[in-house]
Amino acid sequence: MSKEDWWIDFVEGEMGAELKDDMLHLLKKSNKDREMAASILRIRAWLKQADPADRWWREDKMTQLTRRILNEVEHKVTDSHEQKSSGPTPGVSPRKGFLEKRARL
Amino acid sequence: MKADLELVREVKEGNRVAFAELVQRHQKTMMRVALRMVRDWDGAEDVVQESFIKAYQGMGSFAERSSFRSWLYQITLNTAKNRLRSHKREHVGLDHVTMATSADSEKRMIADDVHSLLRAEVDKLPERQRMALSLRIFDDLSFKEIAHIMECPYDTAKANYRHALMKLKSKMEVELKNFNINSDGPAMWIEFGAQSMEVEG
Repeated sequence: MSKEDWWIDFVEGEMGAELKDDMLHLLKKSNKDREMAASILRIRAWLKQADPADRWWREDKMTQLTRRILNEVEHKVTDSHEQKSSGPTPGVSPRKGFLEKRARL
Repeated sequence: MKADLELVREVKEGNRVAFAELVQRHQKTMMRVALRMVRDWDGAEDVVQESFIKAYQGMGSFAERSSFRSWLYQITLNTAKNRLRSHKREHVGLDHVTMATSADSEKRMIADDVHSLLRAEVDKLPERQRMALSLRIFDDLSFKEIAHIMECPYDTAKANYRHALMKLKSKMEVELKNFNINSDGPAMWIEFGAQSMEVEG
């Protein structure tokens, strides 16, 4: 492992307690090590700010997506029941979709 | 609030309201995962819808050895990959950079440029490195969970992440010279346990 790998492990919280103290000591004493740790934290912070998902995010469309997914599940379940059924069962009305129940919640 | 696995067991018994709860809980995360791969809203919606349907239909075979979330991540990532292959789309490279209209927004413009550059460099990473990086940085997943989702050993997941981070760091250090961004920035306080160290950042 390179020195940078050690610092990545330290920043990511992947280091055992015994090594962590040594790394803290290095941070106090060495400018070079401080800069290395800082540069790793910096690139991490920039990456977080540059999340590609933010560019296309549409909060207003999320409710629509939920409905799409649950509609599709309902269709799959209905299709599956129709395939299994050999005809209407007397006295049993079709079960109301759970979407209506969900809408009331 | 019921735990995911409790809801999963209810879904297995035919409770679709429990599945609706799982959808509500995880759809935003999966939407962001899909968006990072397919890079358009409509495509990502298709991926997420398909992924949840696959999860619903495959619920009987979900053995609960991992978390439901990890399992859903796997389904979503595979579905997104299949979509990219079938649409033969490459990751979009550079984003369009919006030009600042006033001198006061110069800092924002530089930040936008840095982010655009970073996104372009992330796109150039090998798939496994990009995936490990994305799951760690954007989704804050543990390396254990990343390893499970990527179906690789723990050390391999960490190695992929390290290689990705170091490549980006090296590349950005070269590129940032063009923006005259030096290391004499504001001090950045980092707390490590009980101690605080000031780091130039």
